[in-house]
Amino acid sequence: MALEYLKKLELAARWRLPPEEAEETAADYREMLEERPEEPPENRWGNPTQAIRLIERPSQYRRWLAAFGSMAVCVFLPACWLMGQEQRPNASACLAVFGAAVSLIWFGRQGRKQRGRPPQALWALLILQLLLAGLAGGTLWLAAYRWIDLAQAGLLAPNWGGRVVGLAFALAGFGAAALGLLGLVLARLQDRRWRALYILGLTMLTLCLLAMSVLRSMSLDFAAPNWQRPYLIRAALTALAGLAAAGAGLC
Amino acid sequence: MLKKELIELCLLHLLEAQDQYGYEMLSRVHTIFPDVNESAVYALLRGLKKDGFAETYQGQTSAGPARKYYRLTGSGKERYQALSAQWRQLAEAMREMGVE
Repeated sequence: MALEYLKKLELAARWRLPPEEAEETAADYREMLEERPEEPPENRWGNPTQAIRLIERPSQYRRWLAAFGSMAVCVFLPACWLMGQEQRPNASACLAVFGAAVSLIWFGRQGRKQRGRPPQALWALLILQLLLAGLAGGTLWLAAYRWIDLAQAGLLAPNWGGRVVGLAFALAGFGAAALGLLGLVLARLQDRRWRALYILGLTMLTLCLLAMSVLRSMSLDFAAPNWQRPYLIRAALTALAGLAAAGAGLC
Repeated sequence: MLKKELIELCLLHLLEAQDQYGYEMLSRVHTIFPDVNESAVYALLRGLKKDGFAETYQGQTSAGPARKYYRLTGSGKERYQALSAQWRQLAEAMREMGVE
C-alpha cells in the first residue's frame, strides 16, 4: 500500500513539478516513509496529488499546462479534421511544425532523460506507427493499381476501393493521434525521448490529411499527365522532415 | 502573523540553532502543530529552500545511508530576524490586551 502511494505521489510530482524538483520530492517522501513505515502514508500526508499541490508553484504548473495544451491541440485538431472528412492539409502541416518545435524546445529545456538507450516500448510503438502508415499507403497503392484486377478476379467488390482507402487512412490517422498523445504524456512522466512518438504522430497525421485531400479533391488538374508528382514530392518532404524531427526527439 | 508563518518561524528557529536532518525537523514541528498535515510542513520546508532561505547537503551518519541536512543561508538568517521581530510584536500586543 505504501509503495502504491509512493508510486502515485511520484507520478503526481513528475506531472506537476519540474523534473529535478520532482525527483527530489519523491526521494524525500521515500526517506520519510522509511523513517516511520508503520503509519499509513494516506493518514500522514493525505492524498498524493494534494501533497504535491502544496509544493508546486502555480505559475510554473500553468506554464506546463499551456505548453501541453498547445501540443495536444496540434494532434487533436488534425485528428478531428480527418474524422470529419475536412480537407486542411496546409493547416495540419503548420500545426505539425508548431507542435514539433514546441516539444523539441520544451522537453529540451525541461525534460528528464533517463540514462541508457531509449525504452524498448518506445521503439515498439514507433514501429507500430510506421506500420499503420504502411498499411494506409499499401491500401492506397492497392486501390490505385491493383483494385480492378482483384475485382475482375472476383476477390473484391469494385465499388469498395474508396471506402477501404478512407477507412485505412482514418485508422492510421486515429492511431497516429492516439500514439502521439501517449508519447506526449510519457515524455513528461518518464523520459523526454518519448516526444519522438509525438512528432512521428504529427507527421503521420499530416500525411494522412494530405492524402485524403488529394483523394477527395474535385480538381480537374488531376487529368493532366504526372499530376501526382507535386503531391508525391510534398509528401516525401513532409515524411523526411518528420523523420528528421523525430530523430532529433530521440536525442 | 499567519499559522504558516509561525511554522516557518519554527523551522527557521530550529535551523538557527544548528543544521538539521529534514525528517527530524518535520516531526518536531508536527508535534507542536498536530493538526497540520506533515506534507504541509514539508511544503513549507521546501519553500524555504526554493526561496533561498535554506540549503541542503548530504550529511554522513555513523550507521545507515547519507541523510539530507538543511542549513540556514544568509538571507534565511535575515528572514528569521524579521519573523522573530513580528512574533515578538504580536506577543507584546496580545499581552497588552490581557491575553495570556
